[in-house]
Amino acid sequence: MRKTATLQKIGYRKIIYLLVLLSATIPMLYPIGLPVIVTKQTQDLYEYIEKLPSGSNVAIEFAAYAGMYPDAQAATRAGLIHLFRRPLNIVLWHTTADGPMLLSGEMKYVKMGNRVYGKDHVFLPYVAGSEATTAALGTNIRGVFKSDSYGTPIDQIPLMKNINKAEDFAVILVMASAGGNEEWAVRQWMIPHHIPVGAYTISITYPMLIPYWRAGSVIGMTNGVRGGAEYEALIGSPGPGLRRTDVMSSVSLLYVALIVVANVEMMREKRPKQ
Amino acid sequence: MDYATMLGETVTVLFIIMCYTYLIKENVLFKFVQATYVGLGIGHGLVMVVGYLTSSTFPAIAAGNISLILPLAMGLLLFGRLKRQYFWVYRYPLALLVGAGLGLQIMGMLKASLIDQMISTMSISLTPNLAGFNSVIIVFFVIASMTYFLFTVRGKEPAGSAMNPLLSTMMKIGQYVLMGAIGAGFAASFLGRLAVFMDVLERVVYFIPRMLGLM
Repeated sequence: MRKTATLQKIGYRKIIYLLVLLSATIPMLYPIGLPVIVTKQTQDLYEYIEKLPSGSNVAIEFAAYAGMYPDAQAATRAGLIHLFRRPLNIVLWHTTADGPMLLSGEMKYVKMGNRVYGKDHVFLPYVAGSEATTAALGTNIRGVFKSDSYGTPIDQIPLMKNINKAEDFAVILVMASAGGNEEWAVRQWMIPHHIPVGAYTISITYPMLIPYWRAGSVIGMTNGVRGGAEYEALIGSPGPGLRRTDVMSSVSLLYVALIVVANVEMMREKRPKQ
Repeated sequence: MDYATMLGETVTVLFIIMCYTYLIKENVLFKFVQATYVGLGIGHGLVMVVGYLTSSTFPAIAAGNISLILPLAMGLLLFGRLKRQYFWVYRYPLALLVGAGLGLQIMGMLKASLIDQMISTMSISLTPNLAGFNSVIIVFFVIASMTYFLFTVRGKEPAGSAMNPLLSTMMKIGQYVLMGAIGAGFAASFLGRLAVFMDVLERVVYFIPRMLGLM
């Protein structure tokens, strides 16, 4: 009785905050190194990119919002490392205002080797307009973009010489979207132009994409930090995903325990007093 | 680490700590961070949009593509929302946006979100493994969930008579399936927020080692 009164005085919430802080900090300082099991969805995405013929054109819709970016960061970084490692031509554009800033942070981790900007990769600027823009890009890229992120007119970029519509690409990859962009790509690129769609997505969007993956509309996708860790393991480049997996497991276990405790407590309170 | 990065890292960590003081009590430090974050976000977004207009839209109009004036004017009309007396002006571009958006969506939605997913759901694989079991259970759960929304049948039940036990059981299962799906959605949302929390916590925990050049 005295114990409950003391707990109530401190406040249950503050105890929970403290427990969450501890369960996150301890594995951060002393990593456990829990194994990562690669899911079929991540494997599918990885294998699809791995099997793309050399010189294939890959479209990337970079849709990162700073607010939710940490969830997709690991997968996005691993995805970029993977894509730039392979001899693929990359055309990337932004559909969020935060995108260019976040991408420049990630590009520091990508080994460019002897890649030449304009010849095998191009960064197009931010464009507003949501699904309508994705649809417009599928039919006429020059109708949306006049120049790249550095102000070079599109017609002066060698890579863009033979690229202007969805059919010029082998695949479209949606990166770090906080919801919606994957469905836009399916509706505006996959259905009318038959261009496969892949996604490096956040945990919130992932369950929504599973039916599309089962139906074959999406070739594969990663699931938040966990998916990022899986992708890092696949490409053999450890990063934020693998580092955060332990923390995620530890905090999730605490939450499960708290749910059990709260339910037991509720049932105890509901039980008629003798 | 250069001085600009050090300053940036220090301000970030200070802001994170100031923000989390909210957990103890709402205070001026938290409010300051909140206002700064909103201000920075809007400022950055505005700069990007103005940048797009000045680099793409205005040069295109100046080059003779006068058809772009129409969407630009429509965009400006959206600001009518800010003043009550001009609110009606805002409705025109909004109607256009909703109409065009729906038109675009429906085109792909019928195939991607309905036909393809129905085919995928109904493709039962009768193999004695987990995939086969899953394919059967998914069909059953989809039917049960849909039964939950059969309000017409429920409404036609004569007063005082019991509902068909099979239908009632299916509805109950459907209810649990829906609750499970919503719970899974909430859990996914929790994981997303947890990732954001981990990111900010990492910045705080690794701050000193980073400043000392140990990381």
